[in-house]
Amino acid sequence: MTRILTDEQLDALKELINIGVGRAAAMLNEMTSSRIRLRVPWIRLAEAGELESLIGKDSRQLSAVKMGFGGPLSGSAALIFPKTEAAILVSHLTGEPADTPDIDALRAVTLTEIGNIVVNCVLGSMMNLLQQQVSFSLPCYGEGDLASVMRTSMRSPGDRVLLVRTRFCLEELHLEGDIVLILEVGSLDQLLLGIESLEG
Amino acid sequence: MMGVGMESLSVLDMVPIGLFVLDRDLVIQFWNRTLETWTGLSREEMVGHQLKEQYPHLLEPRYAGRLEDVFQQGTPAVFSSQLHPEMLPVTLPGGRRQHQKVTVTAIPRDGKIRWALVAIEDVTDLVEQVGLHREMRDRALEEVGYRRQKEAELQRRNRELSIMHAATTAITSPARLRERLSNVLNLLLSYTGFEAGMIHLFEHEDPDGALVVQTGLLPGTVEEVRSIWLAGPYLDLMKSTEKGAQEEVRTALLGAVRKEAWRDLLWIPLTAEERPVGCLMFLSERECLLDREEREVIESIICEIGTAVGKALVEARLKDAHAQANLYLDILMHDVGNTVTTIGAASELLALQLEKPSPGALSQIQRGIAKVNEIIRNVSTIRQIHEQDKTPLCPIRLDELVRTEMEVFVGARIINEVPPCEVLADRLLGEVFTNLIGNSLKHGGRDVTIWIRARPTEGGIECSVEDDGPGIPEEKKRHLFERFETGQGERSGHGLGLYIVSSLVRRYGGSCRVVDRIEGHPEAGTAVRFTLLAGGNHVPVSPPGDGDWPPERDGIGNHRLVNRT
Repeated sequence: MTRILTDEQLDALKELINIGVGRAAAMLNEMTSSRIRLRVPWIRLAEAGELESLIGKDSRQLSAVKMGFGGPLSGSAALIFPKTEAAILVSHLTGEPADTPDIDALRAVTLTEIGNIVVNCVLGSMMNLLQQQVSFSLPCYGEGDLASVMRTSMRSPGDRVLLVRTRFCLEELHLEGDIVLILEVGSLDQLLLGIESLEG
Repeated sequence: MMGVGMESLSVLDMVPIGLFVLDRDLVIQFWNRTLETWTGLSREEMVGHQLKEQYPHLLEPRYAGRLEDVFQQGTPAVFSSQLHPEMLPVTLPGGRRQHQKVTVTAIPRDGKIRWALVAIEDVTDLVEQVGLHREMRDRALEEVGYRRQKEAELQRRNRELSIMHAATTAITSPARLRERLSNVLNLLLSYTGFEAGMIHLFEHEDPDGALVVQTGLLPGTVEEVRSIWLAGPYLDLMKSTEKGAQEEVRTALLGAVRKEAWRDLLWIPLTAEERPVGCLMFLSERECLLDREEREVIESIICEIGTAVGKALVEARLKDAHAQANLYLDILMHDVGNTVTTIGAASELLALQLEKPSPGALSQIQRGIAKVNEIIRNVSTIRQIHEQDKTPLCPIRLDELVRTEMEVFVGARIINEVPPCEVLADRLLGEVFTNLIGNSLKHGGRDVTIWIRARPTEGGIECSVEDDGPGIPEEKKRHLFERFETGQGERSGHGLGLYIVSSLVRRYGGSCRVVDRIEGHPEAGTAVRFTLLAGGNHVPVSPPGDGDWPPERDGIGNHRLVNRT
């Protein structure tokens, strides 16, 4: 059953995530000399079964960079884009022609690095809050529909999922991706406790 | 490396991946054999030294910040070859630069991250293969793009040809000019994207002397635009080919049509044989830009419209001329005919009343009257030929028709050798025989003998009207069928008889020729031969001599006299 978060809790989570994506944007800008801005228009706490309708775009052709984590906070995190938007993002960050629609092996690694940075920064802000050691798996890249890219992460449709809509703004280009945090039982409570202790 | 025995890391020397270990102070704790090979830097040179000593760029924020995260958060860091082409510079044999994928992972101990393992994969082959693949893909895409471009050009050309064909078909159709112009106007509107338009012809047979067809315009707009078109200065400007003059007309027209919110206007003068005959105007509520090809298509179609309008104007003038000619013919045939009849009657009365009438003068008057009557009759026949021009031919019994014609020439020596047969002709076919028999009698005198024959030819029947009159010199034969060509003798006619014969035979699908009745002996008489198409089921029986003319054509003996009364 979906846990209902209060507006205050959602705001606090959103602020925490905003700190992370802000840092990710700074890193990407440092690396690519681009002027990228990351925004988080909204976040939702939902069940895994609701994810497809929440992502809303063409969920048959997705590109995803996924990392697992374990410890006091356990689960997996993924940065998901429609494949075409992922290709555009890579093209802009690498300076390749924007009409290249493919994600070949090289571009997959580049997208892995981008996802690695964004997810690291978001998770890092959470780790900082909890002040506890968490172990991470290496990021990996996958393509396909939502079910296949999240196959090993979602155990049941009732898993709790924190969906973070993330907007990548590169000059006049606006691309939207989603950060999907699948939290195992107790992890969300840990996170919220951490937030509450901060507020308290 | 503190706490980790070198011997336990020796296995890392065996992997084909560059590996080194950093502590939190970024001092190198391990440097594997693969890296020694790639960089040329030995383990001894590297272990215990700061990373920045050999690779100072790795302390730049783009690397340092992420390495710090590995130690602070334990998050792994991936560095791609596209975003970091020179992370650990390695030169490969042949001078190529090594492309690398670098992964940094935290090594925790006792709840704290103490070291970081840096793994460097050589992805040079992958980069080169991907590069080749991209080149091939780009070439393929380029080719596909080129083909698409050509296909688009072909489709466009096809559309242009299609619209030009449709417009040409519409403007040259047998429909009335108004309908044709309306159809072609709608085609042009659909092609150009303009929403409304009109065509205005300055001259036309309509009561007000002008013709307007329009689509999508309110009657008020049509009248307003027409009033501008017909106004003196604009009419003159419109006929001018100068750009300034045309722009002035456009400004005036735009002023009129903008009252109804039309935004864009295209107007084009319409010319026929380099003479201005009208205008076309297209209107749109939005801006309509036409490219060079579209303009060329429109110009080509407008050229066709101009030709069609010019043709229509010529046809109208011809119709007028024809009506006028008919009036003159009516006067000639009715009034002059009546007058000649009156003169004939008066001359006969005069001959009775006079005690000593002059035979020469009277016969001169009567010959004159006969000639005038012949002229009227010939003119009437020619007129009928033209009027009959579009009526279909029908089967006619040739032998019966010749028999009927012979009855007209009472007392003439005519030998009918036409077998029972049918030809395709009309009611004027008798005129052919009337003129030919009349000619033979005129030139050969009362004693002349005339033969009328027919024989089958391929697909038709050849007729021959022959006489044993004075004959025709060779040099005159070729021009005999020309209009107003006359003989040389006293009895020569007015040159219309043989012209009528050839006109009728041509209409029946045949041809005429004049030959000596006996070849090489023009003094032995003349033969006029003409072909006709066979009609119906009456095929003539082949005459003797394998289809050749019978031996009687030499004119020696065996003549049968008929109708001698």
